[in-house]
Amino acid sequence: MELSRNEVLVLKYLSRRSDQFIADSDVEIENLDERAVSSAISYLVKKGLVESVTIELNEYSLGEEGAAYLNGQLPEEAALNILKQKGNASLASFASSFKENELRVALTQLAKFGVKPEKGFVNVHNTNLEKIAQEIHARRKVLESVKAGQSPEEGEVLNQLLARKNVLIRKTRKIRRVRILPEGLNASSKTEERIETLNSEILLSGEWKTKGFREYDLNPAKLLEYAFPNLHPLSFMIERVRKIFLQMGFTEMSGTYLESALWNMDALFIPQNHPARDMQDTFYVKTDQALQFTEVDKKYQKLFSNVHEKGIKGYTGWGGRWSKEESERPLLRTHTTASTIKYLAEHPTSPQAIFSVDKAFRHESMDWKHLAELHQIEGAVLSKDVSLGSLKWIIKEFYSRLGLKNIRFIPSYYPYTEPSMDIVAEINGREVELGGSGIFRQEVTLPLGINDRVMAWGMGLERFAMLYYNLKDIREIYRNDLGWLSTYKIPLNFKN
Amino acid sequence: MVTIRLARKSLTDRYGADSVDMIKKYADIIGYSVEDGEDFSVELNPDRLDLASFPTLISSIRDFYDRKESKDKITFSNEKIITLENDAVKIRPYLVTFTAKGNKIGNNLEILIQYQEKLHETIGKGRTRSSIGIHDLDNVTPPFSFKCEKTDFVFETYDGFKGTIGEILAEHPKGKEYSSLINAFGTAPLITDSSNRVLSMPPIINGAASKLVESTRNFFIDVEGLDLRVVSGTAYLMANVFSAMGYEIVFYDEATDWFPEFTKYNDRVVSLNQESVKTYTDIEPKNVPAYLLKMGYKIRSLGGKQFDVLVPGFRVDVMGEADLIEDIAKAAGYDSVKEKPLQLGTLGRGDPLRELSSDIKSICAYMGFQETMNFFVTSPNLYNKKRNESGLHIINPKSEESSIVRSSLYPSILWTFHLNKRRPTPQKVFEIGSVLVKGKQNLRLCLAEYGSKASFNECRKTLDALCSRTLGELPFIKATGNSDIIHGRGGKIEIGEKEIGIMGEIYPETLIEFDLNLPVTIIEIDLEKFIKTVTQGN
Repeated sequence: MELSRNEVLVLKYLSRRSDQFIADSDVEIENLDERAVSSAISYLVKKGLVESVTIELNEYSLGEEGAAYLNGQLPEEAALNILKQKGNASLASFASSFKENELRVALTQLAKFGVKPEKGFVNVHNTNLEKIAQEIHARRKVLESVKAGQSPEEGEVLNQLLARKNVLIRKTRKIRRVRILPEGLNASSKTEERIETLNSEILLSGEWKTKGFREYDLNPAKLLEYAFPNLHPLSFMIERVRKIFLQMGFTEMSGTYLESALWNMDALFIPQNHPARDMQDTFYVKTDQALQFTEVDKKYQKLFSNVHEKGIKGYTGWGGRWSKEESERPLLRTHTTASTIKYLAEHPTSPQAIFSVDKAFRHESMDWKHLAELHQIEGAVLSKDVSLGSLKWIIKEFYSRLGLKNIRFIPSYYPYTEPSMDIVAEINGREVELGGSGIFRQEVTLPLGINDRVMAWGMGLERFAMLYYNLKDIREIYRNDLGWLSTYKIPLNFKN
Repeated sequence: MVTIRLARKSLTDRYGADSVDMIKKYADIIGYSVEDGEDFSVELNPDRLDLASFPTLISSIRDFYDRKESKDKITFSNEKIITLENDAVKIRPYLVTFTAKGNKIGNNLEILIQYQEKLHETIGKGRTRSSIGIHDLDNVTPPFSFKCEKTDFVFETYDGFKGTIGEILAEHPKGKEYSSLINAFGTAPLITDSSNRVLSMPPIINGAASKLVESTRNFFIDVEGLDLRVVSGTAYLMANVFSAMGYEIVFYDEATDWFPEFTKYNDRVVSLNQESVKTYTDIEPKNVPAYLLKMGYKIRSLGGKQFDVLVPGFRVDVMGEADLIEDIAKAAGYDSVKEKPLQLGTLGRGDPLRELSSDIKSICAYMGFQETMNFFVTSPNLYNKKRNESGLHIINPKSEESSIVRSSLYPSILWTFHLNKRRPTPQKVFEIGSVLVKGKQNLRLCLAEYGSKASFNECRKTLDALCSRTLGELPFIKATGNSDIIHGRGGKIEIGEKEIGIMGEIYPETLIEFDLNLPVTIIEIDLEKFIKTVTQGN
């Protein structure tokens, strides 16, 4: 039988006192605290080397009232003194010597001794005051012994005090007493102390040559309750996606969460009456520091207004009236395409390959598959070679580097791309929509002075994280449960 | 997304046993999704409103798979059917009408009404941009007039409410819902027949005189609104559903007299260069005409590589060449488009701030801190008068918990500790994320510790370790009045003369506010200032 060092020490200690039961707390072993001793004893009991009995022990302490009585007088002591001095007392004069709540206690206690107020007087008659005095004295003795930390004598007096509120408090503690069994004595005689933790003393003294090492349980259950700190699961994915884009020759964009409708919507030819602009789809922001509209922005307002109302180069536009005010509403960007289009406005010449993995905001109620705040992966290419075929190629290349093969494309619709395609793949036997893509409409590119075509694709990072980390509820990702964060499994070789 | 639904049995009864398979097959061409159960439903992208009814969807499928020759389903007549008066046109500036004649409508009435409602919601934007009235033509007599009547004029609505215009607007549910659309001051627009019976009070409610029943076989339809393109688009969409159900459609030339910019059904022309098709899709020019016909277009060849494509009036989504190219690619099938490798000729470059945060993330994790991620849009409960510097509120929050934009990171971290109170301590976490201060977005780093040993000295050690690894110099801490930090146990972090953040032990009152029972220390650094120090320092 393998015994730990502590178990050996406790067993040796008990073997020297094999004739008696000893409480855990009485086992004194150098450098071993009470908890360690108790734990070792429990194991020894489980292993059948030690027997134990548990007894209940009452512990007493003074309640608030009890402590006050001991400092001053018990109410019945005070009452007794009055009666001793005066013989009889009117209830009124009697009452004046007490605080309200103590008067009640004093009268109750006197009543128990047979002294009851009659016709407004507290009468002694022929009561034996001396006997009452003795009884009260016994009560004081009990309180004093509790204060001194001694166990009071069990009996009528003690019970009387316990029955009163806040005078005396009783706690019952279970105490285990143990005694070594013959099996224990046997085991103890066979064991020799073995090396537990290798330390410099053992190392330098050469003790390790003779003593031997205690053997450990090599496969203990659940040692890893709280593992080592690490990056957030989304960070792993973000870094992986960034690496793929950078290796493919893409430049990373940066953009701001607070954006105008001009760049989030109008620049992308989203009509001003489009449902996506409604209050139930987009977070609008109240700000005293309204967005600064630069001269450049104002120039684009004119350009976008023209495209929306009248169209461009054979395209009809939306017609109707385009509102400048509508374009100036501040909002939390609903997609990172707002950054893409801003970047392209500043870099309109081919070739450009750009990407970002950043936040976007949706006016959604959170549930198992929806978040109101999420990361979007977005890639875009401006090149004279952009076509539906090259878009399919680059998306397949990108997803295969993420571990996703057998991508399919299905027709879709976005106001700013034509043609548009959604990207789907089979994952765990289910067809999963991975994202959207398309070639930007000319109504989007021409006003920015872009003469070649732009293709772009995007997907939500958190939806992908659900597949990546095998999550049933997307909200897990943002719960910040340190248990999960320090133990989640990184799928190093993710594949569909 | 637009969804249409019909009991599966009703679908196969009406359109044949093969209709289910056909709809599923066509889904790969158009890109809608299908749910097949006791109810059969189709969820369409919002651009193809013309497919958002089963009769039109089936008809489009027949065109795609069986089309032999393009047939005109819609004609124009020079008869006079309605007169317009100025006062009514002032309220609803555009009106387009047509008639549809054929068999008894029967149980298709429900489909018709559902489609009308769908158009009201979508293209009509809740009847503001366009609205539709459908009438039994046989119970009323043309010519009709579109005119205004005073609000004491009495008529009966299709659902039996009889009263003055004023009463209908004030008391009838439809009146209450839509009266704001006509801004009637004493008058309201009506469509009446030759004996002054009311067909409708657009865009609010129809009259009893022209009420539809299942035995109705001849229809008069009015569409009116604020924008001619939307109004005519709506009318052609509505005509398309009648046409798909086998009705003869007649529009009236007078629309062109009133509104010269009105485009007749087939008169919209988009020119298409076959070269463009080739650049976008690699589809061979010889296949283009067939694909266009399958998708319901008509073609006038201009010789060479130029086409004039005639776009049916109900294709409100087609605005130019790219829309036709997409339809050609759809007809060919996206799967048939060959993948084409691309030589980008660009060099990858990471955003400098992102690159830096990447490095800092690793450093923090190596120092033994777990990364957390909290939301940018957060709860005002994490802030209070002394802590809120931003004042940036969401106008239309979905919930109280997500209604303000955070102006610092550490309140969310305190909340994270609160949520993990029962986990073993010490807990050391960090977060890199954006905050918004005075309208400006700012990237921050927060490192924090929760546990009995969290103290200024430990916190300072962490800060010094971070600074010596990244800046090669140690910061100066200046005592400060941040009310969340115990005085003399933390303050502003200065590098050189520049203030880059705060650090220290959290004030007990704040700990109690977050229901924490062990000390917390925090470091919060402005990473944008930090990166400047890093680059200038070297």
